[in-house]
Amino acid sequence: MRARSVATRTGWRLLRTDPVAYAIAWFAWVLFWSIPIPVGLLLKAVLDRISTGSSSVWTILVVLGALEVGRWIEVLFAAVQWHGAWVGWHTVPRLNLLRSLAVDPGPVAGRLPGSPGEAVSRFRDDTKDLAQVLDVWLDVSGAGAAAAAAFVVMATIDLRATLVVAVPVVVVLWICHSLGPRLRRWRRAAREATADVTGFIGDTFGAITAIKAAGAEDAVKGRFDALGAARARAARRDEVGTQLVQSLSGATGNLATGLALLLVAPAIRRGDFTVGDLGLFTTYITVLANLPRWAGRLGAYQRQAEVSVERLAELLPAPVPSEVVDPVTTSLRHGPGPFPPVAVPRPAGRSGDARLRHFEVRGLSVRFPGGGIHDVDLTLRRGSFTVVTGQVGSGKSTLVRGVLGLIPVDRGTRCWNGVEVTEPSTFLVPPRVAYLPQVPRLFSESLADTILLGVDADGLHEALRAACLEEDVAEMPDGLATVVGPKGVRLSGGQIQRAGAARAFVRRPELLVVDDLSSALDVDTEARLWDRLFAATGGDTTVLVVTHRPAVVARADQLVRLDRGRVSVGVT
Amino acid sequence: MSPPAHPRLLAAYLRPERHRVAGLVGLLVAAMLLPVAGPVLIGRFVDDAAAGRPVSALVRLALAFLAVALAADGLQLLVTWLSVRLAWRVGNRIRGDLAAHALDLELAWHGEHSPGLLIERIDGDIEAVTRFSSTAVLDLLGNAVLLVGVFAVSLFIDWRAGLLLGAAVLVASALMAWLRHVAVPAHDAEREVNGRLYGDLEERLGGLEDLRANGAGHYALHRLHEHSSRWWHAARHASYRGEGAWAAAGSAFSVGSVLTLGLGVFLQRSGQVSLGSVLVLFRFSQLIRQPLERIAEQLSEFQKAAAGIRRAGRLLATRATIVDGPGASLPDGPLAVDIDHVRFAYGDGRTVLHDLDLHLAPGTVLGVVGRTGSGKTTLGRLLLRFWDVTDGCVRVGGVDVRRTTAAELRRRVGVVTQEVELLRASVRDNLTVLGAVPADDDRLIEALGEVGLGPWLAGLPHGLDTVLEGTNTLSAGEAQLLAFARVFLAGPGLVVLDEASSRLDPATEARITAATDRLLSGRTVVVIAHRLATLERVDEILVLDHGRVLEHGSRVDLAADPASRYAALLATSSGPERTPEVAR
Repeated sequence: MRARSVATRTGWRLLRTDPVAYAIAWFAWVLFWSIPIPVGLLLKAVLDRISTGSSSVWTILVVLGALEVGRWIEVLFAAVQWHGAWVGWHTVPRLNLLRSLAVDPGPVAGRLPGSPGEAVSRFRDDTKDLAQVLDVWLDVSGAGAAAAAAFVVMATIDLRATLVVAVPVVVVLWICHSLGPRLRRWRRAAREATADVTGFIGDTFGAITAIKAAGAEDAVKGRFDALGAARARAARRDEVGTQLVQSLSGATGNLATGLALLLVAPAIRRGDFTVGDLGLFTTYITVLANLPRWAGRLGAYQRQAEVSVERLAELLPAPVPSEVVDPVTTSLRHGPGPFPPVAVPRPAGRSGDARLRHFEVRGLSVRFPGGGIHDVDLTLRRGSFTVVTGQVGSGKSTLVRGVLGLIPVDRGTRCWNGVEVTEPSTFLVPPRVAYLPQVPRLFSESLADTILLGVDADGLHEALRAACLEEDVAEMPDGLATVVGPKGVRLSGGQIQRAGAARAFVRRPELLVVDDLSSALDVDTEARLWDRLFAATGGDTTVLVVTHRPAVVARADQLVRLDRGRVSVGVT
Repeated sequence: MSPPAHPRLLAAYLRPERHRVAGLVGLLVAAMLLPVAGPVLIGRFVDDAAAGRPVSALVRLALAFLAVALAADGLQLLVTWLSVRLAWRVGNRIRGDLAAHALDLELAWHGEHSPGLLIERIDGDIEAVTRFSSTAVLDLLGNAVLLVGVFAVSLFIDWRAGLLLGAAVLVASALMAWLRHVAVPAHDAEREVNGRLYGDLEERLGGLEDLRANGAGHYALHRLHEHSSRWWHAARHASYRGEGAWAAAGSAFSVGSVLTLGLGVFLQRSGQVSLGSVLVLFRFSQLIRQPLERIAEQLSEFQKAAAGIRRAGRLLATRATIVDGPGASLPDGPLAVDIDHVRFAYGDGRTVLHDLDLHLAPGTVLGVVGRTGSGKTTLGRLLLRFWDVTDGCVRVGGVDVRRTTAAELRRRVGVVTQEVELLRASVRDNLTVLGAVPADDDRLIEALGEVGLGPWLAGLPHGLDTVLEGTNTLSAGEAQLLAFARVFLAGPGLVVLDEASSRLDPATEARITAATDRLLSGRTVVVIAHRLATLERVDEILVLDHGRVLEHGSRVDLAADPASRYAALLATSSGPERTPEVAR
């Protein structure tokens, strides 16, 4: 029960992020659901009048028609309004999660599930499950309000018959409730099987070159079919279980009508129960029978959302579900407007702690099975060129990622100008530090956009030149507007790496951290890149670089050689 | 084989299931006709009560009502069970075909379609199709049967009332059919917006560290804001169109239903039908409204499914431009390479290789040098037929690569690419690429040992079953060694090493030098390298610049000829690491 309240609490907080939109949708749906109540009363009037042969019924019929048509016009308004709210319910958790992953302090390594494909399924399916809870609340309130009104009207006509009619409704509610845990288990299995399939698609097409090079298309197909079959088994069980609840709810109406007929047979024979009453009862029973159906859905969606909220919260540094739905400006109607480019001041104009004097790392340790780094010390002075070298697997990348706070560290401190950095993941970022990973990730947008990523374009040409990318851009038919494709596939490996370099340079960092340029650049291009960078900054750049290239090592003011995670040589 | 037209696509997939579908429809007709008896029994109940029949007769009618209605509900559940099974079979078949088709499309196409987008195309779209065919299509069909049944019975009660009801249904259906065409493009647009939203999100989530370390998180958030706002507008627009159809049809029907009641009252007053029959007609108008609402509700599912199946059709209609030839087989042993006056240009017209002519005897080891962008990588990819030449011809083992099959070519030609792509799967699956390369565990352990990954394997918690989850279990250099092991396993007659040793530090590189020597012996090898040091064991050197051959000859001869570019390169790179950089 505690778990269900997680879905409820999270849903309630989500609702409150835009209470006006929800209130409008709520009134619209309650109105839509309640119109059958006056319709039933009008029908009773018509039937009673014609059975007694009394006065005209035509006015009542006109009102009846107007009500029906009005209901349809009203629902169009409600649906359009609802769709906007529906998008909002998805957007709030998405923005919160992406902010937490991409902006908030703390390392993200290990927070995302294995593949980006699976991560997308969190943003796509799990946010939908949460949105569905808010949606089903609308229907349950509507169906509930209508059912309550119907119950009251029926009770004033024949209390005993009304109570008997209520019995199947209550029984079915109970059955739906007790089926709950099993349905929840099935739902979870189905969801996991789906994530396996989407994750597999993402992985496979992310490694399409390797698949094609190995001629593994048939093997992929076989694996895909097997995953699909497992998912179909899980999904079938889940869907039929859900349908069972729906069918039970459907049977409620029929059972209630049958019982009512049995019960009122003597009364209708005596004339205590009129034909109009019977017409009203049959109409209202349909309204009542909706209740278990929606209440069943409420239970199912809540259970589903419970799983989803947990999965969403797992993406946060501390899994607190309420933070998934923190209030956030969505700007859906008018859009967010143009992104204000982030201005990067020139290093010469920086003073105080914006200017790096010295940077120290003390006792940095990162432990993981079969690797990690142990008690690494490092001192970087302004304008120095520090090289980290060592064998494959010696912990070079782990060291720089640990220093920057991209991965969680077990121990160690970092000091910027002698002041301890408490939150490296948000402090050691541009314009203080820029990082060029081994394989930079480009995004499928224009070359200029994927380099700038929101930074002011005024230093772009300078950065392109320093990154030795100028000539390449000149040869591209669309120049800087060239769309680079997913992960930059339309560029060569060297161009991707130099675009990554330009991305770091354009941020004019005080400290530049580079993880091995040699994977895609030949030694001469790399040398040219360093020369140009020093020329551009007048030699006033502090660099920490991972490499095993002797030519780069030769430039070092300071050399750190790693051996199985420990500093074996530290030459200054 | 031409792809089936979009509307016929689903039908093509349902054809093998036609017997099951027929059985299902039979059950469905029974399940949906039973409820028609309900209101008729209630009408009898009212008339019998008015006629003063005994209570026992009324009770019998009430019991009959119960029996009929509950039987209908039971049948309905059975139909659902069968239809869900059917839907998943068909849905998975479409997914499988889409995935297989997408796998066959060339790399250029994949360059324009991100994995996130493909998840949406192969799975998201078909999800809508499956949901439609499992629940919606039965709702549509079943409710149509119900409508026909109601129409027939009301005709029997009074032909004018029946006709009026029928006319209302017809008008409402015609309206829906017409408005559906208005709504489909709007739903297409909404899906398109969503596809872009998820595609972008997938990329940003895959590059989180790049975003964070470059302080670009806010920019990524801004893009999500933009995409979400676009979705908001697209969703409301689609709803306005889609629900507009629903509301218009519903209104038309409501008017018809009230008119029917009015007609019933009129007929009762003139003594042509009984009071019970008026109640029956009104119950029918209610009974009929719900199916119509359901049909209208499912209409949006249908619209989504139609959009999904249309996009599936488009994907299946995308022809691979690189198609298998008649299936000439490649000879055993090392393979000769003939590149006959090849010109290659990308789709956008950029010419990457100009009139390249190159011939290698079987067993030759060729080193290709040239600056980035000189066409080295393209040359390697042409040998694997990842692209097709624009002019000229590429022959491997004397066979034009366009005359053999991709499977045969890739069985005999191995490659280690610049960026090693790992699957989030076990070490075993990564080595055999999900079993495409048949090899037992001993052979796998041996191959890992050959490239120097033996100690690494020994340190893994579950050995070959350890799942590789990115760089936590494998460094970039180790990934490259793993790719070497893949080639060892496949034992091809031609190997393309594309800057294969670039990620390795000198010590690690030394560890696999011996293994590489073994790999080079008895095979034709094209080594595309940055470092001259890695070319010490090659037989011939090819110097490329801007897609043209600057120089090609035996390494020994070129090195000895002081006028050659290669000799100049050797001379200028006297340091511990020498460069193949070509002076411009």
